[in-house]
Amino acid sequence: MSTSTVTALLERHRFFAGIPERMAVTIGEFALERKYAMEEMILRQGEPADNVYLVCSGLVSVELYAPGRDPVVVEGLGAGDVVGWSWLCPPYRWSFDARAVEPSTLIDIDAAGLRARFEVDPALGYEVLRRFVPVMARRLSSARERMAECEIDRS
Amino acid sequence: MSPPETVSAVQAVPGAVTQPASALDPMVPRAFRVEHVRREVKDVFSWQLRPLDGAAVQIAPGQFNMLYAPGVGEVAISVSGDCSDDSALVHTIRAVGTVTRAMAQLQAGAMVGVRGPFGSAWPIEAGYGKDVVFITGTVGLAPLRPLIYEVLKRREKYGKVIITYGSRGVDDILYERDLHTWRGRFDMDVNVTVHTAPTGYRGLVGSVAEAVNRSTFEGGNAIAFVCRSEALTLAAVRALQQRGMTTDCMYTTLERSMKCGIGFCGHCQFGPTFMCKEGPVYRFDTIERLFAIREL
Repeated sequence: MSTSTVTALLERHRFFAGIPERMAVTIGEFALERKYAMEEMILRQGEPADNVYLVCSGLVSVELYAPGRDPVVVEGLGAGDVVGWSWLCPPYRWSFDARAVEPSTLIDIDAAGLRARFEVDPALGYEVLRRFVPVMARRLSSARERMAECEIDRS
Repeated sequence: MSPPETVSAVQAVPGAVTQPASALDPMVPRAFRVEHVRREVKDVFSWQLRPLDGAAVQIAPGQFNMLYAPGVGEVAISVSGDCSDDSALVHTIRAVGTVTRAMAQLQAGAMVGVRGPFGSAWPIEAGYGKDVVFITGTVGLAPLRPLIYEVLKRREKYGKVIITYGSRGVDDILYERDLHTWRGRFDMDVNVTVHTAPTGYRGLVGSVAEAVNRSTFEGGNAIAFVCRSEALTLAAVRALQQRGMTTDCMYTTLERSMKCGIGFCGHCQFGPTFMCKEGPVYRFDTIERLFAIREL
């Protein structure tokens, strides 16, 4: 798939909606479209977080690996969602597994390359972080809400 | 003794029933027989109750009865069945305290007392012409189920109908059969989300607020019925506000320590309002400020 095609996909994705064309083109240089079969692992807990993924279609589960038992699904992500933000924070290692639970199409972005680009293009870095922070805030809020509900249910 | 006066700033839902329909002394229980016990999920069960006197039962969606386990005590429980059936009552109960645990031990055929109905009802007609959004979690679906039944009976009067329901896990989804039935309809959306799930689960996993974010409804022309614990109501309200809804289009329930059911005892007082009389159903903008007062 050509860079311009991936760039067009990026611009259509909810996460990058309205991004300046120049930036979409730059990110497109680091991106490619990938298809995952059902049950295929996308990333694994503990491994280097050198990619970031945007879900175009399908369903991705974020799972917590627990030794001696089946993994626990803690988040379900669909079209328009972004998978992973460990690539933004040292030590740049995944905190969870991600698995395609349905045949899924994702945009795979070389996050290590993008991180390096941020150093010379801070405006791009700001634009991407500006979009990630609300995602992180929503997920933190979601986790807190679920924790509170579990605690309230127990009492 | 007369009931304590309440401040009028918090008003009952317009048109709602706020007094027991029965002309009998509201403090005297009426005898009912437990006709059927249905185990719903862990620690949650439903009773179908039939009055021994054979007279009709009257209750509106959102209202509650005081259920009495002889020799143990009374608890306030919202109606959870179809309110158009005036021959029986359905109440769904979670076994969490002394009285409800005793109730969980009762079998079909047991006798119980019922006082009520008490409190305000969901304003069914306020949603005519609008999208209707139900937001609830765990056992909060019980007080909403009679309203959902009513809305579906008058389905043509509403826009989109969306249920967003959250559960801790896949094993404690209340009324799973109803949810499957509703999901199978072509004229409503049912979003069930769980906090966590076993690997391979293909439904939504996340918070209720996130599920609201994913819903498709017209925030500017919608009405929301929220039934969650008080601590989580605000999360739902914020999610609805992000979708363009204002708090005067949101209704919720408050349920705390109801004892007498008629505003005498004051146990359920929440600032200027008595939940058993002006509540349990409130339009959210009338109680919003109370949520910010920590002492309450």
